[in-house]
Formats: sequence, structure tokens, C-alpha cells
Amino acid sequence: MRAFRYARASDPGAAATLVAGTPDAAYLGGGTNLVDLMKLGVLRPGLLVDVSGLPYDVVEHRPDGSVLIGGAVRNARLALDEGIRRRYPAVARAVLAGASGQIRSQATVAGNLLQRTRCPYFQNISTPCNKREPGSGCSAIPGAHRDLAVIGTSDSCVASHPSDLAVALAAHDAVVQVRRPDGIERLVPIHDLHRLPGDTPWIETVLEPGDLITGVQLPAPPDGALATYRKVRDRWSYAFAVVSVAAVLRRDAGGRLDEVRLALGGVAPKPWRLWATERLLTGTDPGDDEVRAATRAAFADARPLPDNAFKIDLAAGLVAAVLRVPDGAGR
Amino acid sequence: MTAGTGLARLEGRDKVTGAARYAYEYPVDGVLYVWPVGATVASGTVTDVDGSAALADPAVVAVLDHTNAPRLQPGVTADQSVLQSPTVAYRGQVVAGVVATTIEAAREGAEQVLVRYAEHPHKVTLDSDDPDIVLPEVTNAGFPGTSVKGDVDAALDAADVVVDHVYTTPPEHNNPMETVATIAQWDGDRLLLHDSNQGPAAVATAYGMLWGIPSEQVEVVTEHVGGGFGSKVWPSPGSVLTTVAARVTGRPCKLMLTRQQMFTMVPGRTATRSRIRLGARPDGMLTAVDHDALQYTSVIHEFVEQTGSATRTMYAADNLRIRHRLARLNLPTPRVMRAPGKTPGMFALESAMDELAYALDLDPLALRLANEPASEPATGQPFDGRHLTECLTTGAERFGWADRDPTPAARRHGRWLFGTGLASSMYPVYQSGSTATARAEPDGTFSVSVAAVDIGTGARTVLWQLAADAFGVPPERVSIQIGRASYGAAALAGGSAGTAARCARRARSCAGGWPSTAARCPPTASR
Amino acid sequence: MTDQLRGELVLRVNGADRVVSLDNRVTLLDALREHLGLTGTKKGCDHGQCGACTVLLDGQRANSCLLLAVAVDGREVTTVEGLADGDDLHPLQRAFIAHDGFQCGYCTPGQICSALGMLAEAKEGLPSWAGGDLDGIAPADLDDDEIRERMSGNLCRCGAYAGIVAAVREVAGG
Repeated sequence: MRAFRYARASDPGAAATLVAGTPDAAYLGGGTNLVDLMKLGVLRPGLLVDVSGLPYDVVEHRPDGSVLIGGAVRNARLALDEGIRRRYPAVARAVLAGASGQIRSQATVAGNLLQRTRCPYFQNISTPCNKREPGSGCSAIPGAHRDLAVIGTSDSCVASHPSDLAVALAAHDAVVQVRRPDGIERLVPIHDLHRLPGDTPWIETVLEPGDLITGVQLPAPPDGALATYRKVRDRWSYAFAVVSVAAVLRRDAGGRLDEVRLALGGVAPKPWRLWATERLLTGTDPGDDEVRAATRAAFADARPLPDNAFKIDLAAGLVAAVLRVPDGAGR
Repeated sequence: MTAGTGLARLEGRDKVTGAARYAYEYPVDGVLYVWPVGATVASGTVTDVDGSAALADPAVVAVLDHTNAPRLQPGVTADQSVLQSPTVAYRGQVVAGVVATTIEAAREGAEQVLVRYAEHPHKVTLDSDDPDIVLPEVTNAGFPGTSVKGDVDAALDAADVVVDHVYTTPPEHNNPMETVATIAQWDGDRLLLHDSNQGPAAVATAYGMLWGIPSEQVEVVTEHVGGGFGSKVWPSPGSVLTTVAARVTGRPCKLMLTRQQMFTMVPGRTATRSRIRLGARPDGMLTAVDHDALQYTSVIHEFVEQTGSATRTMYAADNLRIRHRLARLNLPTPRVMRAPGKTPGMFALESAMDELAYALDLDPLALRLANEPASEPATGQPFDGRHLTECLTTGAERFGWADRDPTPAARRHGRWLFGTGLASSMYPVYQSGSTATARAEPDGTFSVSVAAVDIGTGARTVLWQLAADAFGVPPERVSIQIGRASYGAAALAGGSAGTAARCARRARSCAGGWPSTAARCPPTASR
Repeated sequence: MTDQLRGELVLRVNGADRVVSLDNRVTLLDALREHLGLTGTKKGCDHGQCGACTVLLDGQRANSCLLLAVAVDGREVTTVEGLADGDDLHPLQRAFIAHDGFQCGYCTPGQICSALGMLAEAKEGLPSWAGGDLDGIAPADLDDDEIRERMSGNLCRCGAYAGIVAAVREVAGG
């Protein structure tokens, strides 16, 4: 770990100016991903600007039914919030599905969205990785890629995004509030926050230096909709998703789906909304086979690798299970 | 009698309050921190070690490599010959060491050291068709590499029923919660180690070998150990490096391996691939047992997991062949890992026996009972006592074995498939010489010291109970000290329980009255 | 804001103010173990994966290996050494002994601190993934599945989980 300077931000403007003006600066939230990567030598900032104490640590339920979650809100605090549990259960479940109690207690919402991939080659500074060292190659494509992405990938990078929370936010069409260094607020739909790797896998988001995620807005959920989060993983607890799904569902009086929003985790470099599946299923009362087929349709452009191609079948089965029993226990 | 009663562990209070000190946690003035640099190629030669960027930090005191490290004598394994040559035998091999005044400087220094290699082709995959596979003469724990009785191939040809299956196990890492940790301090040619290990006397012997000094000049203090599982039976390269650093700098040095380094510098069990062929008559009597065990060792040291060893003992057959085949791969030398040999070997044998039962349409329990040997199948040696059939039949009664549905994977419950099967296990009880010292003190108490170690097994508490019972006094009147090499030669973790008791008995008979008497027992087989 | 790579901090540990001058890279874990002589908190993986380093930070459990000491300047840290009241062990410490919730003991301080943090979370009403719903559960009503889920960030390689769960269950029951 490189020696670094540390500053505790008391004013967002000063913090942003500092970070924007210092090429090797980084924001520090809970540190649960950043400090980990600094110890591994993957990230080597020369300046840490600690924003965990800025006044973005509130969950604000608004009169119009929407909610603004501050970027510095700790994961555990978010899952504790009664309004979140009652009205956005997929979000609460996604938080509870992630990491461990200790990490949930410290990790921030903003940090969760910006956490880096757990691809083992990205995390090991002695193995080639285009994301970490542009042009060095991708070790995962010919190597161990079972836990990595099947869609949205490129010949340069097949990393998957590890967040559970981001998947639930994507199912709710969240909007990320970004404060630019010049003080202007920018609103970025969650779907547009993360970039696909393409030829530049080291550019992961649309954020510019100094941009600070101050909060996440969630629109009011559709009246009478059910929402849940299910996660398939190798262990009962404390493991990343092999495949996960966040679903927001509502059926009309005839049992047909009039709201169906589906986002998957574990399959892509960002939370993956199944737009094509939603279009196929809206207005129908589909059986299992139809749901599976509609899910597979969303993977028409998938680029599965030998050891992770199973994720497409798994996703199809998982989405079918969720539509069958949307209230079912998350396991 | 306190043995068998539920006494709390002697060190329980220390462990729940954080007062128990593990190897790394002893305060030592002026101690330096050691951080190993592992090779990033699997096979090759180190052509250059450039420590200049590391040494630019004034907190970095030294960068050690094969060009400036003192010469060591051969140790117990070739992996202990740290920084003795430029040859790289496996990825993760220690090729340099950074010594610094802080952990942070040592870690960053290790990242800054630039090592260049001439890379050679490497082999890291266990492959049954590897042309360089050898047949070792002897395995770990002294079993013959190959045992042959009768004519297995002919018997298999003639058998009514044959099952032929391959069972594989992956490499398994010990990974105790406390990683390898050592503090090394030299005083002239005397070495003091606070070290996390599974036998301080064996560690003293190993360092005596490496440094060419009498093992009595090596004191090893091992009060509390955060688990071992085989990883701490003998010194690891990181610990050896720490003694090197202390020698070179003339200051006490300490090291704690990272969790990542536990996978490369302290590897566990080799992967195994057992081909089991069983030949039998329709009534279930085995006529042939063939166990071919393939595994690997490094290219620098022969360690042969005794994968076929249980097959020597388990079931009667007139024709028996056990063969260990060894590949030499560019991987770290495997070491003992929980139940060496027995774990992977019994998995293979017992799975095959169940397969045979289904092939014969016989009860797997009846198959075992039918093949109970009168003497050890491989050697003909008589059993002192063998109660496997009693265990099996008693267990069968208690588990309601007779009422089971014998169909494999008969039921499905959620994500689980349920069926019933049967497997036995065996584990050796080794006896070896140990030393204990017992003193009768003037105040009517007794103290016992043994170079045993408690890695979580409760050995400290058991020894205390046994000593108290041997002395015939309440345990509060006995104090027990363990975990120093200077307490005398002793078996590895757990092996010396009975010896202390016998020494204690003898000490009591010597005590008689005042003044205090110490009795030192010579090495003797323990029960 | 400082141009320095190190600074002077005040860490409130177990009720006492400890002033230390530390490199900014020093984690809270290493500050405790290497600089404050408090070796009760253990290093198992140094990357937040095993929980052996768990402490309480302002009453909330956290992996001290992922906290920079400089970032917790002025905050309240509770370690395993701060739980007993003189010679009187904390009920959780007594329960771990009574139920033999440890073997080698290396994960034990982290287990105990994590359990304390966990019980505080439950008391506040935090649900867990193990529950069928998102209602909070009072500590006394935590069943074994809940305890295991909430403690899943603490590994025990010796496998003393049964004793650990029994100890936590006993104390949770009040």
C-alpha cells in the first residue's frame, strides 16, 4: 500500500474540488472495498478524501411517495428503515443478502454502487488484467471465469458487477444523484451509471473526477406491486451471487402481469434489466415455460464462456421461480 | 477422577478475554517486520532482484535474496532452503524478503521489489498419462509405495463381478484461523522463537538442522496456537525467512503470513486420483482389491501422501495391490493435512465398496461384514483388537438401517437429494517417545511440564486432568506448563497425554516428603 | 486537511483516550495490535472475510482490518479486552466458556464482539436474510437459523459453531 494523505471532508464542495484537482485522489466511504483493494495493491491513491461524515446519511421518504437515500447511508441502516422494508422490500432484501453483518454495518450506499469486480485476476496484481492494466490482456477468458459475466462483455473483459443492492435499485428504476465539482447536480439513471467494458474496461462508470454520489432517488413503487430479491449462491450466506434477481410485479384482476420489472445480478458488468423479457411477459399470465423462454430471449446477445454458460439456464429457472412465488423466502 | 468429566479448558478465560498471547503477539523491543516476496512464475530462474525502490523508503532496513542470504544446511523439506539458490520450483516460492520497521513499509516494500526471471516450461496439472510419473519406494508415515499380494490382474479377469471407478479429491488447504507466525531472536548462536506450530521440539530440531546448531540451542515458545491442521507441523519457508532476517539484521524479526500466502507458502494436501478396482463373488466375498493412487509432489522434495494406506487394513482379499504413483509438478511441496492419506483414500475405497454392493444387489453393511479380515490383509499381522463389525452392527441398529429405502437418491427435498449409504473410517494412533518433567513442590502442589502443544485440542486441560489423577490430588493442586521445546522431546500435538501421567506417578512415588523433587522421565513409548 | 502521510490521532479504546502518531496506512486492527498493545483482536485474513478482527465502533460491529485508524479518530472503539468488568466476565464471555464455544480460541474475540454487535442490531429491529419476512425479531426470539445467518461473517476453522450458537442463544435469551 502506497503511503497517502488523508483529509476528512466537512464540506462537499471543498472535497470535490480537492478530488477533481488531484489525479490520484479517491473518495473514502466505509472503506470496505477501497481499503481491501489498497492492501492488494490494486488501487494506489495518494490522497483519500473521507466523505463518510458528510450530511448524506439520511433516508428521506417524500410526500410524493418517492424516497431519497443518502449516499453515505450505511447498508445496515438502509435495511433497518421501516419505510424501505415496507415499500421497497426488494431493496431491503438485497441489502440483507449481501456481504456480512460487519460489512453491512459500515459500507455506504454510494460505495456499494461503485464497488469493483471480484474477478480474481483483477484482484491479483501479478496476473494480466485489461481493467487494471490497460492492454495487458484478460486472464479470465482462457482461465477461471465461472463466476463472471455472460452478457454485456467484450473480448477485453468479462468482469461481473458484484452488488446486490444495485440490482434491486435497477428493478426500481432508481436515479443516482451526482454532485459535480462545480456544484451542479446531475441525475443519472441507474441503468446509465455503469458502462460496459467494450475496449476500455478500465472506465467503469460515467462519473468524472470529483463527481460525488450524494444520493439515490427511488420513484414510488407501483400501487399494489410485489417486490422481492432472490439470490442463488454457492453458500447459504456471505457469498456473491451466482445469479440473482430483483423483481417488481403486479397482476391485474385477471391475473395478467401489468407491471413486470426484472433485473439480474451475477451475469453482467452492471445490473442487467431484462427489457426484452418484460416486453414479452407484460399483459400475460405466463406459465413456467413461457417465463423461461422469455428470459432466454433477453440473452440472445449473450457471450457465455465454457464454464459460465450455465448461468443462462439458471437465470431462466430463477425468474420462473420468482414469478411463480413472488412472496417466497429469498433462499 | 477428573478425566472424562466436563471441566472447562484451563486457558478458557484467557481466550475469551483476549489475554491469551499467540506467537506474533509477544512484545519485543526493536522488532522488525518481515514480508516475503513470492515467485510469480511456476518454473525458472531468478535473474535479478532489484530492491532499490523498496530501499528508497528509510523504513526498509534490508532486502534479502539468494545473493545475500546466509547459507543454510538442508532442513526437513527442500522448501525450507529459503533463498539458497536462484531456482524457482513453484509459483509463490519465497524469492526475496523485505525487512522493515513497520508492517506498512514491509508490505509496500515487498510490492516494490522487482524480480526478473528466466521462465521455463512448467507442469502443474495432475495427469494420469504424465510420462514422468514415478513409483516411490515409501510414503509419508513409512508405508511401502507399492504392496502386492497374490495376482490382482488375474483375479480381476476371473471375477464374477468387477467395479472399476476413479475417485478424485482436489488440493486441500489447512488454513487455520491464525496464519503462520514467528518471532525470531538470535543471541550469539542461540535462537529464541515465539512460534505457532504443532510441536515445539520438532521445530527446534528442524532449525537446528537448518542453522547447523545443536537443537538445544533453539528455544521455541508455543503457548497458544490458533489451529494447525497440519500446516504447522514443520517450519514453513516464511518462518525460516524470519530467522534469516534476524540473523542478517542482528535484530529480532517477526512475520505473519497473509491469508493469500497460506495457499502458496504453506500448501496442504496434494490432489489425489484413486482408481479402485474390486473383484468379488456373487455372495460378496472380495477376491481382488486394487487401489492405484495418483498424486503429486513438488520438483524439489518427495512427499508421498499415503493415500492407499487404509486399503492395506480394511477388507480381506487374497489378491491385493496398492500402488502410489507420483507426479512431480511445479507446485509447492504438499504437506500433511488433516488425516493424511486416510481422508482421500477411505473416500475412494468406501465409495467403491458401496458401488460394489449395488452391483451385487447386496446390503452395503452385509458386504462389509462378509469381508471382515482376521488379520491385516496387506501384511498378515494380527489385530490387537478390531471392533469395526461391532460398530457397524450397533450403528445399523441405532440408525434403523434395516428400515431404509436402499435406492440411491430416493428422495428429493428442496435442493437436496436423500439416500442412505455406508462408509467406515480408520485412523492411526501413533505412539512415540515423549518426555515430561514432574515436580512435587514443598507446599504440596505439583507441577508438570511437557513440550506438548495445544492447538485447540484441549491437550493442556487433558494433561492437567491426567496428571492430577495420577498424583491422586484435586486438579487445583496441579499446574501444567506446555509449549516449550526445552521441556524435552515430545510427540506432536496430542501425542503425549499418557506419558505425563506415567511420569507424574513416578514423581509422586519419589516425592515422599520435603524438599521438592523433580523426576525426569526418559523417552519411552506412551499409551 | 494535511499534506502529511501520517498524523496524531486520539482513539477512544475501551473507554480510555489513547493518543498515537500513526502512518495513515495503519488499519485500526494494526493500531490495536502493534501500537496499543491490545492483541486480543485477531488478524485472520486482513481483508474483511473472516471476522476475527471484529470490534465495536460506536457500538456497531465492524471489521477493524478494513478501517483506517485515521478514519476513526475520535470514535469509540470497544475490543474484547474491554468487555469484562474487572474480574467479572461479561455474560457472553461466561457463556462461551460454559458452552465450550471455542477450541484454538483465535476466532473467539471476534465472535464475541460480533455477537454483541449482532444482538444490538436485533434489539434495534434489524431483520436478516434468514427471516421469511422483513420484520425485526427480538433477541430472545432469534432461532438458530437467525443466529447463524447474523453471525455468518465470523468463521471458525476449528468448527466450534455449535458451542458458539449455544452461547449466543443463551445470552440472547436474556
